[in-house]
Amino acid sequence: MTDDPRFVEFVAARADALLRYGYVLSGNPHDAADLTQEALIRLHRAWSRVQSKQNPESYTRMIMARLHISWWRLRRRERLAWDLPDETHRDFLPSEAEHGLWQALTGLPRKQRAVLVLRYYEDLDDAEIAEVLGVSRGTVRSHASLGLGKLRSSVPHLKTADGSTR
Amino acid sequence: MNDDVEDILRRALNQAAGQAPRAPGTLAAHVAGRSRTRRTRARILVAAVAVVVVAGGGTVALNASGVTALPGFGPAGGQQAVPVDPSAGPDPSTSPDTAVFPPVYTDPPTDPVERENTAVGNPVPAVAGRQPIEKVWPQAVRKIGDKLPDGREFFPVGFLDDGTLMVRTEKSYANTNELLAYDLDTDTVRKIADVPAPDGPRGYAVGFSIGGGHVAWWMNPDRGTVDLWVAPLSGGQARKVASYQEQPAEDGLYHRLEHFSIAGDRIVFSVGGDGAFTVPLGGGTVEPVADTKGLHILRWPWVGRSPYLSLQVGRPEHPVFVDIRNVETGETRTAKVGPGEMLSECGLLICQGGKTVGYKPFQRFRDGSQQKTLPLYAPESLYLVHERLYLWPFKKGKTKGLTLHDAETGRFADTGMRSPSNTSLPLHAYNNLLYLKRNQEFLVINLDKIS
Repeated sequence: MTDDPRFVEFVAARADALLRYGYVLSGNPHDAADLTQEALIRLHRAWSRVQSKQNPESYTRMIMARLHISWWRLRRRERLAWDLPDETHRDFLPSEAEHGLWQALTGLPRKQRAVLVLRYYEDLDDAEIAEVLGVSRGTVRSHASLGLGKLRSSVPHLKTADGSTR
Repeated sequence: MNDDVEDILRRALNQAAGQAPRAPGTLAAHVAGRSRTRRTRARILVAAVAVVVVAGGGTVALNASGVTALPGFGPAGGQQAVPVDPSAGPDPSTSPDTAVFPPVYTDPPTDPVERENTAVGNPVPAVAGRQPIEKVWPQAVRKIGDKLPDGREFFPVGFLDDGTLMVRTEKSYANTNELLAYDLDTDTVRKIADVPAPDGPRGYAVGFSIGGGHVAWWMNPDRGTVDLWVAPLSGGQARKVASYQEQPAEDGLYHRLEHFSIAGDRIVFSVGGDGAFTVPLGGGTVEPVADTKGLHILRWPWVGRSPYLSLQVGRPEHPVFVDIRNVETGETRTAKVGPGEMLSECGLLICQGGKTVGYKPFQRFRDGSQQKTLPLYAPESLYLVHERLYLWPFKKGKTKGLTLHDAETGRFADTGMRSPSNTSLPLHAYNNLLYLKRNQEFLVINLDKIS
């Protein structure tokens, strides 16, 4: 527990990047802000340990990913008291293809979405994803495969390279 | 494994990340305060548990990580010791200290019209008073059917002139196979070029940009490789004019091409972290633009820093395009920042920002003039589509809508786009074009014609 100026500097420098990560993990600004804040509170409590032994940002991102897929999030969602009006986020992407997939992501279970975000936003390999989420590599591969399959089937006109509709 | 979905997903996540809310400047202090509150509560809980256990004659094991009731030694009378882990704090789902950021934005009043007009100086007219875009800028708006004469689906790309729209068709999802010129007066089309499939297993054509009598696009056939393609607007064969090999960043990740356009007789593009580059439209070597390492193109020839386009872990953040430089003339522009203010994002002419305390968001010109208070929205709720033109969302009941705002004239126009508040607005911006699909037709807006 500390008011280490390095903690303040870390939050100032990285909070926006963490919010972006929280946003692609959760798909909405309210959960993004809540995930970020909760993870930072936990980081603050563990600051001296994390700061000396780990990369604080990696630690915070791991906490956010685990929080997002945990039962705690499922319970907590109903108790959020968030003041951001809906208008504070611009929820369209300029290109139709990306827009369609971003929308389709909302239909995925949290674990599948988390695996896809870690793989395609964080650029982690399956072993790293398994470590972040605390699951096996086989589970990661399974979630990734199921998630991508659902994305393909949920977006209209998404076809294979040979032109056949999936 | 089909790489098309993976590439689109990668782009979608990175684009969407830019829509995330931003952290208030007071976040660190707020987090520390909440953290201390939890520690205090955890201690109280620990003490309470100890009292319960002692009173019940049971035993507890104390260690550095917290208090754990030993199995079989719970308190008498059916009471159970509550396991407490002070390192994690009490279960937040039962804590009254629900974790939220400090109030960055004013709590919205319940009435939707009032909500939009409570801020001092709010220039947005009430919902009822807004004019449809067809009335505000009739010269800029056209409506066309959503199918080509031969029945195929198509997607607008940009205006070639007042009466001609460039459109593309897809062989499969996101896989553009043809570019066409659509005559808005006669509803007829002329082929511009076939778009070849990528050589490699990944990445369809994207970034279609119009200029110099040509259309250019890029493809990412393999990780780290960008192929640049050009076709004449008069019609003809598309050809690959250059390839760019991206440099992996320090962490082994590749930066991403994030600006791509035609400027005169050259293609100009910037890649996050790598800087700005040019290549002649006719083909040749990709040349780095001097002194642009780590910078991004805002609008050629202006470059600057943009944290949203540099997503590497561990890099310091910078405000978006607050300081910009003209790489052709060397002219620099900065933006006025007063005491107690912070800027979040600037275009060539206009910046958005807010007060660091009490965060009242505003929009104004770089020199600080013509400041307007933004109404209850964070600055990032506005989306710059064309130099001075912003998309300005609003909400009425459970419905969302979008206005287009000309920051120079202060005019607003209702695009007519409506969507349930929990879904996205299907609206798209390319080149000098903004388009949206309404029912069975496209509303295409020529941004160059708005004045």
